Amino acid sequence: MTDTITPPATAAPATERPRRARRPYLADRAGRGWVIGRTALLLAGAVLTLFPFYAMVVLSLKPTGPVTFPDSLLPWPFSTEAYDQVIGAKSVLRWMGNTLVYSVVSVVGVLLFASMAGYAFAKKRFPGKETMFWSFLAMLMVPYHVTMIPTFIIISELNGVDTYWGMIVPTLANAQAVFLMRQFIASLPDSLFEAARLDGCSEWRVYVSIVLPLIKPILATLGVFVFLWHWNDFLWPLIVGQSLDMRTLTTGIASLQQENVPLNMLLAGSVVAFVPIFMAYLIGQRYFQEGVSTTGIKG
Amino acid sequence: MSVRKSLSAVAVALVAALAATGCGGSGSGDSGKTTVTMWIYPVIVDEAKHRAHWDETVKAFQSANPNIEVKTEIFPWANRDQALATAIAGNKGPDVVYLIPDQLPKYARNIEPVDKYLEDAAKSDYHENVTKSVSIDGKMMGAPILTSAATPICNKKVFAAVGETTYPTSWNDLLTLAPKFKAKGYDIAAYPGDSKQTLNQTFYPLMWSAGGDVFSPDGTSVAFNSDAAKKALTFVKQLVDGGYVDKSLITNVPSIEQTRIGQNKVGCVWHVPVAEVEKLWGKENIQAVPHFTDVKQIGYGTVGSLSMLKGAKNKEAAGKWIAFATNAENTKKYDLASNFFSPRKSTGTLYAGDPVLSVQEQQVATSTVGPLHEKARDVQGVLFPEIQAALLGKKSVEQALDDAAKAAAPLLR
Repeated sequence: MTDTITPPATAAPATERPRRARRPYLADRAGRGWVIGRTALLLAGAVLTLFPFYAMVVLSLKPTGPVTFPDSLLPWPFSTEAYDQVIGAKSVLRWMGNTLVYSVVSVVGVLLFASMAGYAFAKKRFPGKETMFWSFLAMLMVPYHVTMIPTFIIISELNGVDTYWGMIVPTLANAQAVFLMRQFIASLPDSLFEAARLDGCSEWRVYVSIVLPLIKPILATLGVFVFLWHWNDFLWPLIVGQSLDMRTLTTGIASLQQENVPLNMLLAGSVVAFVPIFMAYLIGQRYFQEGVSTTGIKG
Repeated sequence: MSVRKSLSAVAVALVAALAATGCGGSGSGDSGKTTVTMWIYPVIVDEAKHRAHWDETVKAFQSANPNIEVKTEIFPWANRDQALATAIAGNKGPDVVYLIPDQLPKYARNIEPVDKYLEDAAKSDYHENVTKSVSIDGKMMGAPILTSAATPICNKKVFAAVGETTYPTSWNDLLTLAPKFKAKGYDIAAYPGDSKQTLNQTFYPLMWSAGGDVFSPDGTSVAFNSDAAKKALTFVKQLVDGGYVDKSLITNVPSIEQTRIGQNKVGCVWHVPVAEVEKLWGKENIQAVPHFTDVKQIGYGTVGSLSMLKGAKNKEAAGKWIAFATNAENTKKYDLASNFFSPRKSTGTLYAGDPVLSVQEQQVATSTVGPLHEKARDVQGVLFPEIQAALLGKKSVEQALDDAAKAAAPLLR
């Protein structure tokens, strides 16, 4: 390659550091051009990515009025009227608490059950294992809306309507989570498990001392995704949480709005729902990125 | 922390959270008391005002009926049919629910007619078209509490900019005015063709005033491939082809603030409620006009009613509550707070001093709620794309409506 040619070793004294040959002018210029082009491209990508978030915040802080480009994207005139209405509701803290309970408990439950099931499907031998696994996986093919009414009827028969457990329990059997766990655990060497058993470990001990520490990366990745799914969930919490006290943030804010919601109010609601999930993303950013690249699932 | 400790903590948290079952939900009322649950939606936009209305009404009801407890839950408009249908399927539906005529045929099997819970004087107090709009097979499926009249509204600012002082009274007036508006950079009207809209508010008013209807009189077939419907669609196509309306709205409806309507570039609209443009145009710039005429003068208007579900635990108590909540006095209070109109004669005119609402109030009598047919919404689903195809020039008007009629036929079998 023309830009990496170095002079012969004999041409320089042994003590002198080999000098890099000057790049030919054109190649140098081309290199700089590439760097500038690449930076510009990345900057353009960053601006394009950030623009919707900027627009969401700026437009939510405007008084109700026509939206015209580019005037509406300037930070003035400034108004908090939309936020006053969205977070002015006296039950908003309760809704936030309900959302946290729904999201956090579901994350914990999904990770616990999915890791146990994933371990069993990946490393245990029992009759009908494959059939059971593929049947379980078939749940992924059934649209959520098809199972919604039967699930509600079961919860209703068990007196779970308008309760936390009624909201949470049906979401704990997550086929996608089990599948990911099973795939991850299957890649762990069998020798580890054999060695543990030879040392007299019980199944519970193997799960706690071998499986869980080794699957931390997938637990973290999946945890972030499950949290996102639950935080943004609307239909199931709406159907199960019938009273004002059982509303989540998404359903509670929606109940404050008229049929045709003004844009600034819609965006103020989005900002209120977005901030906590953005914080969660910042905390679990590394795992989220790893998750997207290794599992292909997206929030 | 060791993994074991972490896991224990996790398990404890999970069990504790699940044990919190008892924290939520509503149990039965105090012993000896009957509880009536009502689901309502944000009819009054200000949530605090809305809740205050119902709290006050419940308090007044309970002082006369101490053994009946009433719980009102304000649900979001979004996904309201899914939530209600699922709750009914799980036998956890409310006792009383707010419904509009569009929904009544769909839930008819689950609704207890309210005739026997309302006094004769109360029933005869309703306007005739209001009673008709909530009745199926001669039975009232809900007690009306409000009505609306979606009359056309025009933007005075736009008319002033164009130099036009006369407001249209017929569909043909729109076509006559259109070139003048276009020459000044304005649209005379707007036609949203996206399926998020309801045809009750967009295409049907045109078709009704041309003398057409959605279904045949016996309801066994569709009638929107009639000459009247073709005339109505041809009218919209003339607006589109002439460049008199924003063509992008045929396939996509963004929020109103982002449209030419919100940007004060459209003369008149007939699908947008006053409340939606009030802050965008300024209330002083809204000119409400009577429903446009063609063969006849007619437009869309809805009726909101309180219906009792068949699964109501105590029908007598639910009936008492419905009768009380929708009596003349409470209806008037509710309508004034929500800017809707009264379905009753005895309440008189509510908005005599309001230049916009008074015009609309007078049009309640010439408003229709649209077809009370179980498949009304399904039929809209097949008509939407055909109207779009005609407006985009992919099909002729005749072909589009005939194709829609063919596609709708299996739905009615």
